[in-house]
Amino acid sequence: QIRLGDDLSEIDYSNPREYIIGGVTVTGVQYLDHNVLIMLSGLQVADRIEIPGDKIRKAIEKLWAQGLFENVRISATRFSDDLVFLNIDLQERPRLSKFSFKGVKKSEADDLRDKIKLVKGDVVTDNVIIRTSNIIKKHFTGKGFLNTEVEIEQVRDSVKSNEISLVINIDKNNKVRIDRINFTGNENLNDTRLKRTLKNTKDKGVFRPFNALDQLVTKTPRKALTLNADTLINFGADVINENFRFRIFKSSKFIRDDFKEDLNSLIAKYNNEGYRDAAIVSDSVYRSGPRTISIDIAIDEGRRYYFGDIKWVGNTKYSAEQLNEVLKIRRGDIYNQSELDANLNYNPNEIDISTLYLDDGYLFFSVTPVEVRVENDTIDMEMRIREGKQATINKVIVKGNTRTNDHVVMRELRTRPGQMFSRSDIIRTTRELAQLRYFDPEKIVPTPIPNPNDGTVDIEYKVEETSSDQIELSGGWGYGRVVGTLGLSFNNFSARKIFQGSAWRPIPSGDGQKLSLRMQSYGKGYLSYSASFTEPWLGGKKPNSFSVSYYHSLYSNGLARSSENYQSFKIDGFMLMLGKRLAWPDDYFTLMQRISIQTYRLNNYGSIFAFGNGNGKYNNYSYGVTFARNSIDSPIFQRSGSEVSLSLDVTPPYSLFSDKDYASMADEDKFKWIEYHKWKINFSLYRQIIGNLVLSARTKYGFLGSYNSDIGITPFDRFYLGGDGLSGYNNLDGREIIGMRGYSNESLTPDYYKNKNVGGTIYNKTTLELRYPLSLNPSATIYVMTFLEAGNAWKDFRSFNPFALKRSAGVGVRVFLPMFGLLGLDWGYGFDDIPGLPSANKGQFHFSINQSID
Amino acid sequence: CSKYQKLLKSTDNEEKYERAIAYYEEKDFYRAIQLFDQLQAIYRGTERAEKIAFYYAYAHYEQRDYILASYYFKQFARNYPNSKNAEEAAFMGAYCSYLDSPPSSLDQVVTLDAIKDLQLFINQYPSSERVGQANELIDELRLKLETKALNIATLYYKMEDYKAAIINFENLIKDYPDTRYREMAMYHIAKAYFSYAQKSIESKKEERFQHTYDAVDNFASNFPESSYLKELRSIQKNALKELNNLSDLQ
Repeated sequence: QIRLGDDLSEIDYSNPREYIIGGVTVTGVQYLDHNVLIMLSGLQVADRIEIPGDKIRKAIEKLWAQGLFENVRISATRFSDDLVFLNIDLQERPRLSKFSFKGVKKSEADDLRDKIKLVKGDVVTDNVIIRTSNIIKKHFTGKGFLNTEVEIEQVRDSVKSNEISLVINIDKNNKVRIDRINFTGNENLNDTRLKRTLKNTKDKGVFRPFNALDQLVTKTPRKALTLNADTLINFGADVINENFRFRIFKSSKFIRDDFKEDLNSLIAKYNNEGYRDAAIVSDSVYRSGPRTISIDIAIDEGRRYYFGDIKWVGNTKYSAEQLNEVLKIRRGDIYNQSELDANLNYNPNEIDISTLYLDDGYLFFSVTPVEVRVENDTIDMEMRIREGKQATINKVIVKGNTRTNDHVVMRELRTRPGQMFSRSDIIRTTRELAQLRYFDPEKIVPTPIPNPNDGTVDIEYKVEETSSDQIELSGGWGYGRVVGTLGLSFNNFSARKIFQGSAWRPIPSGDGQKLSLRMQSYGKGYLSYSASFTEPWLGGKKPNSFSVSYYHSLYSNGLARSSENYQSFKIDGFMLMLGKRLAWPDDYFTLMQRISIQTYRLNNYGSIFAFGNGNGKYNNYSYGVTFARNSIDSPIFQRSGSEVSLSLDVTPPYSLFSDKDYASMADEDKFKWIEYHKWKINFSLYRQIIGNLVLSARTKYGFLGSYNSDIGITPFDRFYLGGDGLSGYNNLDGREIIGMRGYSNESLTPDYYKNKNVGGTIYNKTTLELRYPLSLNPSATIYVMTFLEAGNAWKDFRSFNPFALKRSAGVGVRVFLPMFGLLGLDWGYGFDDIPGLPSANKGQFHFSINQSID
Repeated sequence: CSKYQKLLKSTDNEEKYERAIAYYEEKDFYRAIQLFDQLQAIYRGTERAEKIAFYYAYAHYEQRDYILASYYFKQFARNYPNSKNAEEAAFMGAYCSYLDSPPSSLDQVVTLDAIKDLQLFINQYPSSERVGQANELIDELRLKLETKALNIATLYYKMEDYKAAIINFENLIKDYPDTRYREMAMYHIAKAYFSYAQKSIESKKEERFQHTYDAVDNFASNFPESSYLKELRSIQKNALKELNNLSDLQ
């Protein structure tokens, strides 16, 4: 504020006058430089200034913004003619030199440090002290320590007199738990159901089996005499609830704000059951013990209401019958506000009234339910609809793509300029953007921005980049030699930027291509490397994915190549793949084709196959096609949708064009040109049961056949069932390993105890799984599950029996870490014995990576 | 190294200050920043604060941390409006935003900010000798926004979503009336209308071929010398043929 000298008559507040600053002085500071303060204030000698006026206000603001003072005051000390002399009076405060905590653990102190935001060098005012104390108290009340005491000691620095250090003494005292939650006045909903609605206010766990028995024995007969089944059931539930409660996932603690919210959901629960007038008459929280409190809640339930007639007003696009069909509420139904809201506005599981309109461009649509008449317990409703005009999409904007190029995102969007606005398209696009794994799935925000003057809408997708690149590096010393693996996988790679130096930050990215490289070596005896590259939009015109991969492995006995005893086994593989999204039968379908070339070269390398003499060259040239449909909602934790795939791989039927006698041929000639046809079917389904609890049902079949009975079914590419599904050291013959829990690796393969390299030619496996997420955070998604599995593999079609299945059950956990992929640990119990392999079933632990058990 | 660590922990502010300035002048910006970090709090409200703040911003600039540099330059210009370095800081604040602006294929929030900052600088220091450079930078950034719009429109064209392409090219002309891509956009509009008409159902064909015809005329009156004109005229001729066929059918 501007304070004037003696001569108040000089100032007229309604009539500002201009002066020239004749001088500025500073008072009240000990440690700070006067000239700097004057400069900071922006008040310069010889400047023109209006009094009263804006410049003084700004000067005060600027000084205040320094955060160094407790009080700032500017006054005019003298006027002479046109000159004014100003004085800045400041009250300095000590500055914070350091602060420390007492009475809390180091980890707690670290949490607090982040929250209280004290910075060295800040001035310490009373406000700062009070604020700090409040933040700390709030922090601990949020954790159930309702009686936390905070005392902040201010210690003057002995050397620097304007510095102060703070010692924050905290006494958390005991955690306060809720002993009992008592309800009165609830006649239609029992205590247990009501307690369940109090999401964050839970009473503490109890275990009183004898008390329960006592209550049941003494009171049941009396209740039974009333001959009312409901009363009896309610009574039973209450007794159990009172005496057996386990708090595993949620601790019992009292937080006032949460409690208020819980009371609201209690009323909401009543409303959903038709009790529209339900109200909390009173609630009291009182101390019931040294470390406990109890809560009494008195409820007035009121009467139960029902829907009466429903009338539609303002609908021109759809008839009342069509709308009633979608609303699914009839006269006489229990009045349920949230069901009404869901069916009018947004129902994630079924079609609702708004979706009907919003998917057809009616962006400005609104519906207002109005109660037109309440007679006794029946409510007549009028649905007032405003349809508005249909809006077309004008601009589609992507924001927040700081790494991924526009075209990579824009091409995936189902909302295109010129189309009718459709809410379902936006929801589907959001889901599909999440599946790309370039962006944080929880942070994709679509916003329609209507332009009412020209009937169009802009759609903005806000995204946040995340990385799903993975790195695998392991090394060690084993079997007297170096063992090492290096694997890299990039999910959003850019091949065209490889030669741009500036794009290597740390690797060229943003074009949505996938690149993975892997190298593994066990020293001299084993070396393998592989590389693959995928371009999801070959040519940029249509979503036709193209990928190319190559791998090479070499096994040897480690001797020099020239040595007479040199033994080696080499595999080379090359594959080209072309995938296509289809528009028919619907646009969830994909078609994938592949050409693969594999050669196996053996040199004096016996006993790794069930045939041959350890020499020769085997060639597998095949063509494959997969037809699939995928409508799964999320790549990591699936809640809905299904996935079906049908695949066929064939080699040329060489033997049909040859007149050689295959029946009498040696193995290495017979299988030189490998021939087979291989069929596979996969099906999986996901359904949300209650909340986040998801049921997953999956089944898989595989069949391997031959063209020529003289050759028989190829010994390569066979099925091996059981265990963790990870391909181990033995995967030399192109075998397909299918994981199945509760049994040891590959143990469900026919005659496995006799020969580990024969394999099955038919298999099936069915899984039922219940999954529950513990964390949906994209940087660490965690879920637990319990499963039932049944499956088996057979030697040939003659021995195939789809009912002779091996069964198992168990539990597991999956952790998704973006850098490592999906890691799994399962414990399964195999119920059926495997002939010849006594330890293959019963309890088994399985570690898996990236859905190797699936 | 250990000497530097000792200095970081020392309480001798005078020495820290001198060493920080020395590090800065020796172009050891990393160390200078660490020392300035500490000194800023200590010398707040004193004569040295100004110099520290200015050097601090420049040190970030030299380290190519343009986001922070821009922030500190702007803060300097705000806190020391009367300083002789204020104009330079205001310019550098905007210039750092310019440097931080990503390629046109990525989100352009920073580009828009940079244009705003540069414009603000021009408004604040209209007689500065840096105004010319600021205007050039603005032009360059605007071109980037236009390029982005052009590329997205071309993407739709390439994906054969002609309706989306037409809307995007039209928006490009509407949003940037003086764009240097005008010719390119109008050329694509005419071509997209033709392909769009060809792929349309019968009842829509007439209207869309008519649009094609008009779009070529529109192009010709805007760019009579264009090298695209020959190609467009032949498209126009085809459109006319289709229109005649359609009217014959009726």
